[in-house]
Amino acid sequence: MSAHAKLPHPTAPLTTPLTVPLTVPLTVPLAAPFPHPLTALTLTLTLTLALAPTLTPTLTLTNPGPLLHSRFASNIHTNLEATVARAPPLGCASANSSCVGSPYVSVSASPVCTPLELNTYLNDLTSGGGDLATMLAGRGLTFVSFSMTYAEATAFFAVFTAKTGNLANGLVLGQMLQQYNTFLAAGERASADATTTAAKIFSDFGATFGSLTVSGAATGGANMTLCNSMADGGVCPALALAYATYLTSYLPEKFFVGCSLLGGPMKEDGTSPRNGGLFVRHTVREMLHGWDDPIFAAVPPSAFPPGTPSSYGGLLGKYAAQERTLDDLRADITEGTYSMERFALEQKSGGEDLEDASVWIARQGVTSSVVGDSSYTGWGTSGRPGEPFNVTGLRSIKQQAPQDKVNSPLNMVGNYEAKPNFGSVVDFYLTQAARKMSLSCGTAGSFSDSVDDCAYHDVKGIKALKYIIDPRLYGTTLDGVPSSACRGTASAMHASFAPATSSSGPSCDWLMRHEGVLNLEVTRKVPSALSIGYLGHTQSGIREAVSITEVGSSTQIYFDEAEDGIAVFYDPITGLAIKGREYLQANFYVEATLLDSQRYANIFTADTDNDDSFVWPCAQWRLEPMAQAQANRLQHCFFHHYTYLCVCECTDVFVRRYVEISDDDARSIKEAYQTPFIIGLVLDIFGIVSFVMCSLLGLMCFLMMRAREKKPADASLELGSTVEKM
Amino acid sequence: MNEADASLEIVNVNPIWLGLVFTLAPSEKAAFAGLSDVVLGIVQGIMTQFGSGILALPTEERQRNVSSAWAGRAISTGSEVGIVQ
Repeated sequence: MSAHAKLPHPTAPLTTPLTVPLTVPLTVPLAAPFPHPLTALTLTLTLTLALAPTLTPTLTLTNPGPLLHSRFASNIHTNLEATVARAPPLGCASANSSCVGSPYVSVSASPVCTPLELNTYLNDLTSGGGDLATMLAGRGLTFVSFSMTYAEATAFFAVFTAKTGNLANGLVLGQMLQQYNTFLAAGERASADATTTAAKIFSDFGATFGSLTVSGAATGGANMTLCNSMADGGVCPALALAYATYLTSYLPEKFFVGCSLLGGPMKEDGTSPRNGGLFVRHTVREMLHGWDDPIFAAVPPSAFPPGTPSSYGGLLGKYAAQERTLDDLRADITEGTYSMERFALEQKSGGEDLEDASVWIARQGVTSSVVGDSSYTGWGTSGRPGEPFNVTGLRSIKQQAPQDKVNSPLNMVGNYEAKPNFGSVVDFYLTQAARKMSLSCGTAGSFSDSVDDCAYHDVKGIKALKYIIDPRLYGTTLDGVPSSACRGTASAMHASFAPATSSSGPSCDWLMRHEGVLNLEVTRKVPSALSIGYLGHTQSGIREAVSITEVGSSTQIYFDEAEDGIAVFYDPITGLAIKGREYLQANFYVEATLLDSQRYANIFTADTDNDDSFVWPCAQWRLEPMAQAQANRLQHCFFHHYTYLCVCECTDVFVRRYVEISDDDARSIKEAYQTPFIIGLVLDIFGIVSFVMCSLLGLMCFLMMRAREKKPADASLELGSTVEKM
Repeated sequence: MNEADASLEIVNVNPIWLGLVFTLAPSEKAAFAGLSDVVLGIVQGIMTQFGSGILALPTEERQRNVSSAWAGRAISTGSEVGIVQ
């Protein structure tokens, strides 16, 4: 007797009673004592087997692994997706504790908004199946269906959740297909190289291939499986390409980014329900002091590069927040989660050599850095990329060399215009840019070659020299010589992934890529850049690529040297910066070379996008003298960028701080050296007067003495006369 | 900084996203490709959660109900359950 029953997939788990009709032909031999013309009687017996829900022919259902594999392999009409929140299943209200652990609860906790299963992806002709069908059509074949066995699905998960070396196997497959594609593009499908590559693909990944059934002239019109885990009938490379697309594009972009990070369709402001991805909406406090981004929960810590922080502390860091206390910091330092070294700023006092006052020794424990150090800036002290950068010896912006020559009170009193001990160009270490910067004495468009030609400005009674940005100093240079050829076509980081990219990185001094834009990608480890406020002094195209307006206004704001330019006023005698206006703007490089996914493609469709490279304003740090009452006030600007949605408004954060010598300090400085000059002048005058008077007295004395010396002669003359008379 | 300013919501580029992509790979696409093993692992985890949930239901009726709810149609046969799963 034999029994034949078409069971569900042999490994499919059963969670409900299964009714299996068994049609069993029974052949009963007929023999004596029942002689009959018929030799046998065939009966058809139908049996019904009721299998318990927890039974399965070959698997134990208590293991969810096989369950998922079978679902992944065979699900063809129900997908694990939850675009619209599902109602709790019958008898499973959300408040019902019996729901704990149910699919409703587990999937609601980790919602997905797109079908996940490979089977669904490939059998959907509006999705991955469409691409596969198109590829097959190119070979005269029609896509019919795709399915996987349990073993193939199991192999799929095992292979593609693993790596070869440091590369995910999905990426390895993609690279092999890329190589294969070069042969196809050259019309060498039948070449030995193409055949070898196809064989290699099947050898390495064939165990994961499900059954791809096609029809066409080559199959005589019949449905035929031309690829599965057992054999490559010639279409496995096409299936492999569909696999690679599913793994490296579909799942990451639609599921991981679309569901896990964004949580659904993008909103009109460019942000997403889960507030993740490229555009986010946060409060000013969060922008400054950090937030909990969904990416930290979505990506396992092991997937991040070593040393990647597991939280984000904002533009200013969490310790700059108003609500943070010194005790918080002490506690973190005690726990070892924060290093006291971050606060270490070492500068010379000038005690040994007055000229060295406020010259840097080390910043945050770093005296110098070289390639490979976490603190490396990307350039040497002279700006040449790759060379060691020495903090030691750089001068602070707060202090230039004090004057060490003697000023005459006669020249000083009245105007106090002393000649400084520094020149018409001053250098200092701009810590925000991790580089040496220069300011020039003069006015916009007219800079002095000699400090003797620098004009004096009155700052609270102190005659100071004003230094501003000379745009000529912030062009792109190579070894100090102006050059535009050194700018490259992408960031240094992007170019470092060669040969995965053919773009060239910058080789200019300070790794600059655009005029007036200080590239901070190495020191900040993000594609960021520093510029003057409103992208002042940047090359043509950069400012035009973004829109900067006041809130509620359509009037564009452009850089104005008089209002927005960097200006530092130095007292020529003490060398102190007694007034400063420093409008620095933090920006991100938002570039098509980096952001090449379909989701953000439309950002780069405008003709005015600076050749697909935005210098995207993020925040401005304004150090300027201002009324104390305004010091904590934030102003907001909107930066408009055309995205595929329509208009994305990104708001800039202005952080203003008060930087000007106080009235008391100005008085102290004046008293410190103006009073002595006055005393000196008085003494000088007294000395001069005394000298003059003494000289006059001396002259008078001389004359008187001469007069007295003349009298004896006169007497002798008189005596002679008398004698003659006698 | 006053509370009104601190609480003002603004939209801007996410430095975390930019920094992660920038550090991981030459571009987003490349980063996605490089993370394909991680993402598939996440898929595996979600589907395992789903399966665990089905298995955790105490009665066959509940399992059938949940399967029906998830499929969006009445599930009555073993074949349908297999498909749903």
